[in-house]
Amino acid sequence: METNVIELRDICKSFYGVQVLKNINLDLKVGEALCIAGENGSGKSTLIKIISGAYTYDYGTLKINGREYPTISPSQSISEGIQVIYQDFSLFPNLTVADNIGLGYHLLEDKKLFSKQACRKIAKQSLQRIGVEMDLERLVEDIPVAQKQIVAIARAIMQDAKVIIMDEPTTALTQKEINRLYEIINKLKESGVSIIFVSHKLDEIFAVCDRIFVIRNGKEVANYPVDQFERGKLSFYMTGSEVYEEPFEPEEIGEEPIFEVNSLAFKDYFRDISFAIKRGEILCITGRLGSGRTELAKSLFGVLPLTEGTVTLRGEQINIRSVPEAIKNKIAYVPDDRLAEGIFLEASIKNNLVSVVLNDIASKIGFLKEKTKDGPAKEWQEKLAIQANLEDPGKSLSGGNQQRVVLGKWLASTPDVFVMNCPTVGVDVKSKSEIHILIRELASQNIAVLLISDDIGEILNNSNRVIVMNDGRISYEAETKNLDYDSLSAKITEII
Amino acid sequence: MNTITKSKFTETKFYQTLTSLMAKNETMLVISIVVMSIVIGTINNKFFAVETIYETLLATVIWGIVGMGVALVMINGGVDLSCMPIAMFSAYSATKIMLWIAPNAPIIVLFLIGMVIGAGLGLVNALFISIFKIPIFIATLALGVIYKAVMLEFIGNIYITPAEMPQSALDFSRTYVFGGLHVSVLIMLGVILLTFFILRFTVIGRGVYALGGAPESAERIGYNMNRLKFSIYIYAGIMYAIGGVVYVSNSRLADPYDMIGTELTVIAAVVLGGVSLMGGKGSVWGVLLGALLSVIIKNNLILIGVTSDWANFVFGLIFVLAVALQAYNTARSKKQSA
Repeated sequence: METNVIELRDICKSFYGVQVLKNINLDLKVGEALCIAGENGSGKSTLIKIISGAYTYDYGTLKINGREYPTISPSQSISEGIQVIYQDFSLFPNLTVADNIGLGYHLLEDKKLFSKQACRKIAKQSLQRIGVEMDLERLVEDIPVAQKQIVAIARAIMQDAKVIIMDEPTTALTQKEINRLYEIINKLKESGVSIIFVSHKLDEIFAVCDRIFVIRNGKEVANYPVDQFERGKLSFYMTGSEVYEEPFEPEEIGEEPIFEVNSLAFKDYFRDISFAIKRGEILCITGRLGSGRTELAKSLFGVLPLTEGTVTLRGEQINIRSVPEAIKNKIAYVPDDRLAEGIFLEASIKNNLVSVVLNDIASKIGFLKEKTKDGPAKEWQEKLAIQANLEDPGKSLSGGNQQRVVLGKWLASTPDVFVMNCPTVGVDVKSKSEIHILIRELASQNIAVLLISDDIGEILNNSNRVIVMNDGRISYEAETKNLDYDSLSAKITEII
Repeated sequence: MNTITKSKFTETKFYQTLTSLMAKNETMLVISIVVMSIVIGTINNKFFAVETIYETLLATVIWGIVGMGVALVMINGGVDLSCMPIAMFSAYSATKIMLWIAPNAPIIVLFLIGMVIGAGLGLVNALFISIFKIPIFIATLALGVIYKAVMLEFIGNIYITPAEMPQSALDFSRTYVFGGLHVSVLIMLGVILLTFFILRFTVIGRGVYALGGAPESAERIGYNMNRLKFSIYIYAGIMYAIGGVVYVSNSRLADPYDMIGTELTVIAAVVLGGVSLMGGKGSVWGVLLGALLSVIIKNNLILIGVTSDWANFVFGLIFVLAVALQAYNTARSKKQSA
């Protein structure tokens, strides 16, 4: 007999008179992996928050483990075994890895006393279950973003979870880590844990999910077992229109390189890095996490000072020892951790868009009229199709729109070199393809584009050359048209 | 071969411990206190007398006790400006009430009445902060003013002279243990140990840090926000009240105009002790050391002929250096992880 862990019937939810969920019916079976797919703003986050007790629903019935909940609080939801891994991980930066993983257990068991030993034990066990070793005593604020995600996963599985909801869990993970995540998910399924997997990456969905539930404008548009689901239809269901990406082909490659680097090195992180980007090209650098690709990106923007090597821009040697120097030399940078480094969450979209060019638009003695900001802000809002009020704060935007703001603020400064560190992480399908189109436009406009990515599909479709980094060195370099998914994937995961 | 790697291992381990110890705020405070003591002690060797040490500890008591409450609120993410108004309100009212209903009751009664009043005022703080979501700094600024006004208008505005003070309070002020250590030092140590225990070994204590570090996450993993906040402010109110009662007992005088206005001194000691103004970080031992260091600077530099203005200058200098060092260490650890 198949039983349902979660049953939603006719769930409706409105915010301020706007209906964001309309008559949602959804069943989650024991041990099933369900994918919820939808664009940003489609209502999928609201749906998750209703299940996790963060929001109350207006109408309908919600049953968990056979019990009906007219209202459900977050702690009730947790004690019913529902765990959410949020995109922002919901960790405590000021606590250690062990405390982060173990604290929830103490609350779940309604313990009064806190035991550090218990935390360590639980943390060790659940990390072992995922097959990761980590320094348990480090503060979470000191660990890289991928490890934060692992801590969040470890925290969710350590509690006696019946349902684990993962909100785009692979965004900060490398292919190897994603594969490990698949293994974990399969193991969890076997042990009777149900998974709700929020994603719009096709490969992922088909690798782990049993069923796909697609939501658009608050309504169910598709609900099929994976084997009956047409691969090509997903983006159609999500957007209501067909999205197809032509592989990138440079229109015309210039003779002289715009941007050239020679034997760059930074401490132990990378060395002997040389490459050149010619006009019209999109060069991609990839590699596993820890391969040095992130550090290289940061060095090119002056965040980490290069210890060796030369950088040449349009034939002139330049120094990039600091971020202001990089900006002065017209280098732009899209960081991988958008929320922490890319966008001013509390500041308005307008202020975000003009943040890089403040000096250029201010008067000679440094005054800046509010009105002066409108021009460039509106210009980039239109060019990038950011659908929002310019006065709204950055945090009110969806992932895709936030990334557009990040791109826009740099484009306003007319860069010569654009270093993009995983620019489509946590961005919906439609925005992703729009960002890709934008990247291609940049390349055709005499801007050297350096794309750092670990999304193999993205690399193959959006660059003409790829460099694979391994253990701080360039291990492989090729034209993307000669590569396919599997051969590139093999080069990336290759152990030297 | 084996021994070489082993010794190398211990050496790096030792180095690691050393650097992590140096990065710790407590270590810097201990070093500052030791340096300060040596400087004062070599010029005036009276400083190393047991009496001076006992006196210094006694002078630390109020900052140490009230500092526990202030630290708790600060770890939770805000600055409590109502600490001294609550301390004075509780202590003055408790003295009046005790004189009125049971003037000969033992000192514990005075403490208990004060603690009940302190808890009540803490509850009012929590109400405004937790239910009406007023920022802590603003809420406690406004409420502190109200507490003072209410006390002066409704409880009284005339100080209670030593002759009128309850006998048990006078006895308390003359109670010494271990050949001259004032009993209130033990109360301070007790309060610090209790706070240490709560913060370190209880789930609600970890919640204080969790709430200070990431409020939304704390709610998501199942903390009851209101219960947590009420616990924090009520506990802080009780700490302030204990501090107030110790203060009026020790000075054998309950002056409603006293104490209020010294909020920033205790806040400075807490920050000096390494509690982050951003919330989420801090330890009770740091607070004790911070309080101790402020007292040594402010009270004992006079022993070597430094005027109080210069003592304040030195305090300000050490304060700003300490904060700069904390900020530098945070920035450095961030860079290392990048």
